[in-house]
This record gives sequence, structure tokens and C-alpha cells, in this order.
Amino acid sequence: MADLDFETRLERMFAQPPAFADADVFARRVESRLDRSWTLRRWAIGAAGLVGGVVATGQVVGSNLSERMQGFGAETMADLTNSARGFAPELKALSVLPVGTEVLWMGAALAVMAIALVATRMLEEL
Amino acid sequence: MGATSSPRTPASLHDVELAALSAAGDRQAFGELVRRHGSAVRGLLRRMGADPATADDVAQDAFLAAFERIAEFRGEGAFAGWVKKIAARLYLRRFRKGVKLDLSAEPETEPEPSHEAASNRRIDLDEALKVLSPNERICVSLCYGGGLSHAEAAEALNAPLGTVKSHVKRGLDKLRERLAAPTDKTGERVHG
Repeated sequence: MADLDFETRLERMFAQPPAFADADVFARRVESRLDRSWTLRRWAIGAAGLVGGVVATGQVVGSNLSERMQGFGAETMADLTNSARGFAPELKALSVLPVGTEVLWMGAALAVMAIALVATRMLEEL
Repeated sequence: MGATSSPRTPASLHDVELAALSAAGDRQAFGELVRRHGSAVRGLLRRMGADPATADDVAQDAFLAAFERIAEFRGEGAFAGWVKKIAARLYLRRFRKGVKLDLSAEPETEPEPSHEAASNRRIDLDEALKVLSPNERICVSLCYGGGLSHAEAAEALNAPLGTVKSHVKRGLDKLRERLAAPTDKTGERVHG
């Protein structure tokens, strides 16, 4: 019991910090080191972003992306036109249905939302 | 009766609130934590045996490390205790680099203070710790000042648990004797 009392007393003594005349100076030193490292970090992040941006721009310019996009755009437009022609009879058949075009658009929107929901859930599962 | 909500200054906030603000990048809030607990951390390091310059240096490093890891502080314990543990571990790492810490060494025999000297002045903790050997001092300070358990201290010191326990016990015995209430020449206890 006496041991426990002494240990408690010792813990209390350790918990009482000695008074330092330069306590404020110490705090300011820590703050200034904190500011320095913060500034350094901001510069490092900025420099890394700049280097990354330059490298990415170089890659884009070097890979003739704009020419490829133009070629890709022309091919895609031709494919879409052909597909639309193929769908034309089916679209005409839809107009025979006893529902308005608004309902069809709403159905399409709901289908897109359902697909997005399923995709989100699948990503969460992964 | 309308309560006016005055802007709260960092000095009026609790440690946990300041830590939360610091975690969001508020360096002013962290500065307040340093102001509040800087002396406790510096004091612990000096009590562990660090010279003043090293103690201040390690204490600064400990606070910077604490700022980096402030999100880990959830307020379950006292902020001061959390930083003290960081500081104690940093000091031990630095101490081991500079000095070979031989915890298996036999305890050094310290000159016993004369009974008269002990009885004539009230001895504080910092004075009393000087009687301990470096090993005893580190072990006692880690466990009673740094808030480490014996097992944690053994791990931090990379020493067997039994060795740490025996250093703590020897240190406590010396401190108990040294910190006993001073007596006057007739052997009566002096109060106050």
C-alpha cells in the first residue's frame, strides 16, 4: 500500500513540469520550424505538379493525339450513322406503340440510372 | 438573456479541440498545444538525463512529429502523455546512437548524501533523480514520467523486461529514501 502511495506521489511529481523562463521562445521556435516545413512542402508539391504537367504535355504532343482524335472522330461518326440507319425500322415500329415519346425517354433515363446504380454497387463490392 | 457567441481563441479551447483543428492544418492551434505542454516534454527529457540543449532539440522534433501524426491522436488519453511518449522514444533513439546503453551493467554506487544535508533542505524530484544511475533514471522516468508500462519501456530500450523492472525497483528505492519527508535533528518529521 505504501509502495502504491509512493508510486502515485511520484507520478504526480513527474506530472508537474519544471518552469522554464524561455517557454515562449521554445514555442515560437517550434512554430517557425513548422512554418518552414509547411512552406517547403508547398513548394515541393507545386514543383512536382509542374514537372508532372510538363511531362504529361510532352507525352500528349509527342503521341500525335490530335491527329488520332480526328481519325477516330471520323470513323465513329460513320459507324454511328450506319447504326442509326439500321435502327430506323425499329424506331418506326416504336411509334406504333400506344405510349408517347416522353414515356420512352423516361424509360431510357431510368434504364441508364439503373445501369449506373448497378455499376456503382459492383465497384463498391470490388 | 440572449447568449452572445464570442469568437473562441485557441487559449480557450480544450486540447482535443486544438488537436482536431491542428489535424485540419491549423498551425496556430498546434502552437497553443506547444505552449501548453512544451515545458512538460522538455522537463521529462531532462529528467531522463538529457542535457538542456539535447532536451530542447528532441522536444522540438517530438512536437513536429506529433503534428505530422496529429490525426492519430483521438483524445483517449492526455495530449501531454501522447507527446511525451513520442519524445521519450525519439530521445532513446538518439541516445542509443550516441552512447552505448548497457542496461545489463551493474548499478553504479552513488555517494550517499549526508543525513544532515538531506534533512536541512527539501529535496525536489529533479535533485533526487541525480542520485540514480543513468539506467535507473531512464527506466524510472520512462515509466513514471513518460507513462510507458514496464513492457513498453523494455521494448523502447530494447532490453529484457526483467532488467528494466530491476532498474525501476532500485531507482524507486533510492527515490523513496531521498524524497522521504525531511526530518529535523531529533528525528521528528518536519511538515510544510
